[in-house]
Amino acid sequence: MSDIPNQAFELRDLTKAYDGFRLGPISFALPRGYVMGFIGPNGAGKTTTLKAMINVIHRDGGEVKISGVDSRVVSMEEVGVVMDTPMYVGEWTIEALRLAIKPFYAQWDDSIFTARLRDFDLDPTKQIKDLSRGMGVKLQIAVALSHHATLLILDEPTSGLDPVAREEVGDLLRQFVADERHSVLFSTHITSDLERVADYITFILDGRVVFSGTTGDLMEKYVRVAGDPSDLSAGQRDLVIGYSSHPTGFDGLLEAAHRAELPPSVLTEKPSLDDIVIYMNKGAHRG
Amino acid sequence: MGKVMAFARLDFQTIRVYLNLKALGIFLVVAVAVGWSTGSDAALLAVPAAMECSWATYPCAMSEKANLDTLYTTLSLSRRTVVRGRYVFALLLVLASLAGGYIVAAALSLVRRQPFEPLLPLGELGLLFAVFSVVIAAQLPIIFKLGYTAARFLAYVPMIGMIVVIVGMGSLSQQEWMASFLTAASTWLLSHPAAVVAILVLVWAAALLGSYALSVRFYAKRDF
Repeated sequence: MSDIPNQAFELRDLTKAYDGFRLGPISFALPRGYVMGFIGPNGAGKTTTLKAMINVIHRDGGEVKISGVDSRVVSMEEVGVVMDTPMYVGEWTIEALRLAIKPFYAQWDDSIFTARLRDFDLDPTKQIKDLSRGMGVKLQIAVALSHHATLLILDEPTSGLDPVAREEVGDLLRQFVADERHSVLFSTHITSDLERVADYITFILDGRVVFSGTTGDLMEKYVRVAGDPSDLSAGQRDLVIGYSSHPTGFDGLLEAAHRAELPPSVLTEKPSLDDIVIYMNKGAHRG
Repeated sequence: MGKVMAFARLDFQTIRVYLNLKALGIFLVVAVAVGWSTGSDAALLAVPAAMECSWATYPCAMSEKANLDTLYTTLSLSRRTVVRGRYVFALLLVLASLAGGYIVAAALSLVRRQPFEPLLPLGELGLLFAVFSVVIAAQLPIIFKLGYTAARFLAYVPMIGMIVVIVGMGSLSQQEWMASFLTAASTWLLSHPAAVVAILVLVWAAALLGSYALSVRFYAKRDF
């Protein structure tokens, strides 16, 4: 029997309050070997959650476990952190970065680092400040791979990247989880990146988790609806999340379980992740 | 201790790009100019060391600019280790600058064909190390509490305070009552050198330990 915990990480009733913002309590977990997309609009609490997970900010309450161990005492050797901009001195060259951080990782592997730099087309003599955003993300992934991280935590890695670079990052993550011991938590507000990559989705809105489960379950849970507003009674309209009427009709999101409660004249279609985020956000902030 | 020294080395690497030939040149020019014009080894040692005091807190500025506090977390460095390592780095930097000044003082004596007393500047060096390390010890808790940008100007208060005290003491010493007090104090101090050294070491150690304890407490509470 393997002694590796089944869950890559688990958050239980995590809370953090700032002036004007309160996160949680939120709970979700990711089984080992999968990619979780962490989605929500800007300001929903994604970065706060990730920072609390790696103890860059202090949590007010709750538990965070990584590989079954409290995140405050777990070895960060297991965790690769990728921020939207590299957390390295801009004037360092990539080689200087290697020399600077290598002493802190017992399992650092120079040969992997060199190989990844080659794969990612990163020149070791280049200064970090001269890297593009995409290259900065790749560099941080190369670092994580070189200290044998089993969990990658990425904060908006595709933000500001062109579609080709976003595709490359998606490919890297897919390659990473090809090893079943590896897992990825990937925050983004560009949900189209996740439809191809994420096995699980956690959707956060105003500091609360509104969904956490498989991508398939999320996509099946809701349908996009559209039609003539006059076809809906007030009660039926209340079922439509993010209801929006315009001169040509109405649209919104509906829990698939409520489909039978709406008249057949209302059109339904499979929503995109973007649709779900947009309508849920509208629904949460209406009135 | 291994992680603390590794962190001090990381701090050095953080500002290494700025410690280039230009910085070394400025250090040498200032040291030689002060030493030549004053003929005083103490002044020669003190002025470059004062310059280095600002370098000692520069890793704090870089941490803030480059989000290094997050990096330290990912390197499994506890907050206590970060604080301890930064104090070690700062003290080593002051020591290195004083050692540099000592070498310049020796070289200058040779050039000017003046006798160089190797032990005399060592005493001055020790005293200056104590003074400048206390100045840094006064700055670091403020920076750990507020962050470098917010604390930048406040952190200069201890250095300005030290200058004000020295200047104030200088003008006060013109007063008759102060002059007689200083004479009496000097007489006592000269007749009890061991006690003086012990008191200085105790005050220095207390200042550093107090500063370290505050910094640990402040940095532990920070969110980044």
